[in-house]
Formats: sequence, C-alpha cells, structure tokens
Amino acid sequence: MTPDTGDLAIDFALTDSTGVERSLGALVANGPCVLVFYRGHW
Amino acid sequence: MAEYARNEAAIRAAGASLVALSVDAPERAEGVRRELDLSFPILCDTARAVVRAWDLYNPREMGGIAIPAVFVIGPDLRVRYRSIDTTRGRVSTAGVLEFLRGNARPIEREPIRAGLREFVRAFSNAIRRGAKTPQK
Repeated sequence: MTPDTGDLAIDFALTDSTGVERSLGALVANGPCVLVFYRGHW
Repeated sequence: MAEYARNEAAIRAAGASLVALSVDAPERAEGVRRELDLSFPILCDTARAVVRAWDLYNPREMGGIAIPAVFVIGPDLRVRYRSIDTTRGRVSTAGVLEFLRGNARPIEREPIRAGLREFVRAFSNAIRRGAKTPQK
C-alpha cells in the first residue's frame, strides 16, 4: 500500500547515481524532503 | 524531471530538500542529473524494491518502471503530502509548492472549487446586471 497523508513512510536505503548510499531517514533528518518518483529513461 | 529542476530553488526556498527516485541504472540516472544540471540526488531502485514496497510499480511498461508520484516526507517520516499520477507521465510541482508554502489544500480539488466560485460569481452578476454576451 502506498503510504497516505499522515502515514509513516516506508523507510529505505538506496544508492544514488553517484554511488552514495542514502536512506529516507537521513534525507529527512534536517527538514521535510520532497520525494519524486519518476518514470525514468530506462 | 525538468520541471523539478526548474523549481528546485523554489522548493528549497520553501524549506524542503529534494530527492528523485527511478528504476534507472546509476549511469542512466547520472546522465539525466548532468544533463539537467540537478543538484539533488537521484536514487536508483534498479531492483524495483522500493517502488514495489511503496506500491508504485508499473510492471507493464519498459520492463517495469515507477508510477509517477510525489511526496513530502517530514522529519518524523510521516507523509505530509502526496500526489500520485497514473494517467499523465509526471506529477506537477504546483501542488507541492502550494503545500510547502502553507496552503495545504489538495490540488486535485482546486479546479472544481475555482470553477464553482466562478460560476457563483457569474450567476450573481447576471442576476444583478443582466447576463452579458462575453465579448470577442
């Protein structure tokens, strides 16, 4: 289920395009974060 | 992504950071990041694990890609805003910016309310002054 407004986000850790590992928890540590899911170029 | 690139400064000015996520391989995502000169990270969910966990996986296109969606996640990890777009190819930045600037109304309802307000105004004016044929 996609988390709805008010729900806890499902935390994750992924590597970014430069090879740095980033967790959602760390990304929001200093304030709100806009998380954009996009289709990509495949 | 280009729209987010254009609105990156506005999003930061509204007090939020920005991160993008797709199923693209790192080389592909890095190409996009350089091409659009993005200063925010692009996360690579090549295993489709996060898109599946978030139920934002579209397995029917191009070997399985993310369904376009945008969230604002608070420091407590709570979802403060979300917009999912299964029909168009992307989610506009307008709703996110409006939310971040403190107008937390869901963007989807805005056109209907605006339309209704417009109708009521036109209707009252018509009663007061008599309906006018719109010029031009």
